[in-house]
Amino acid sequence: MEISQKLAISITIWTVLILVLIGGQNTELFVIMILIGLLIARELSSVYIRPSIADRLDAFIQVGIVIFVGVVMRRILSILEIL
Amino acid sequence: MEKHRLLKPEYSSKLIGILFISISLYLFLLTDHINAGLAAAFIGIFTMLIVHYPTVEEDVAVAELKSGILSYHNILEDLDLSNNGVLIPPNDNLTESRVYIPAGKMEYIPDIYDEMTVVSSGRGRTGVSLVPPGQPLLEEAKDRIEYSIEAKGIESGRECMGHLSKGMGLAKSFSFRKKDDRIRIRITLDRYEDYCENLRESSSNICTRTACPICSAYLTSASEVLSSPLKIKDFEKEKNHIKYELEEV
Repeated sequence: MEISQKLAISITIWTVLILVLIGGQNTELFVIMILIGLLIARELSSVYIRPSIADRLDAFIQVGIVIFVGVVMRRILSILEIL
Repeated sequence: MEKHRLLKPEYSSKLIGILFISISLYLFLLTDHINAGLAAAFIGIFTMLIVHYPTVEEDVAVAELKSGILSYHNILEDLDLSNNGVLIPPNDNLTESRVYIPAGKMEYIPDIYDEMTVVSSGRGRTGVSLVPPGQPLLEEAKDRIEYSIEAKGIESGRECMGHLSKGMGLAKSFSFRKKDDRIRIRITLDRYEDYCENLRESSSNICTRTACPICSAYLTSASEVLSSPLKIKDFEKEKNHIKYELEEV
């Protein structure tokens, strides 16, 4: 089995596990947990993956970081009672 | 037996991705399971974009590896060069590594330049200088490292060899050790074991001259990280373990 297949299976298992643990309750936490899974997968697979796959994985992580910043901003605004 | 086109990972991953995205659309539009919809959409897009194979078939790749090195072997046989090779790292005169095969007893290494293939600098300094057959493989591994490995020492060499082994799947494992001026490299082959055996049947002494592209990539990386010419002193193959002993010259 190729490393990209292993990566896809690992991320799928992680996502399903997070979905089972969090359920339909907290979407923000769910998204952040997926981002953490992506970061772990990127770090652990960095030696094994081809640069093209690494670039694609980085693109997913960048989108996740943008969402994470949005979540944090939303929290800050809600704490400051602006939102 | 050839797999059906739709069973190949590059196609099946797209089908699985489309299936998950369809499920996510159903969950978003017709139910209130937002997280489940997000999960399905994420898995679908991830599977479609990550699992891809822009590469050639393995048997074609093996044939390409063989064809290159057999040309080298034939040239060296015709020139009657049977001495052990010396791996020369880039230096003031050379922009890329070379493997030098002396014609007779080597007294010392002659000056070698980029444009020079046949080296004729007098007695004990005659031979040929070739681009190592593993250079393209090594370049691929070096592209994955964020810094130049030249003269960076044995740890950088291990990192580079890690990319060759685990990242590119050229070998199952390796070890790279240095004691005084002796360097030992041990490569344990996995999927390329048959390739190695077949190649050795037709050109057994290639291992001590330029080495095959796979071993050459390891040997050249050792020479580059140590920034020192390395002469192949000894070669041994036992089952799928390849052992090289090199000497700094």
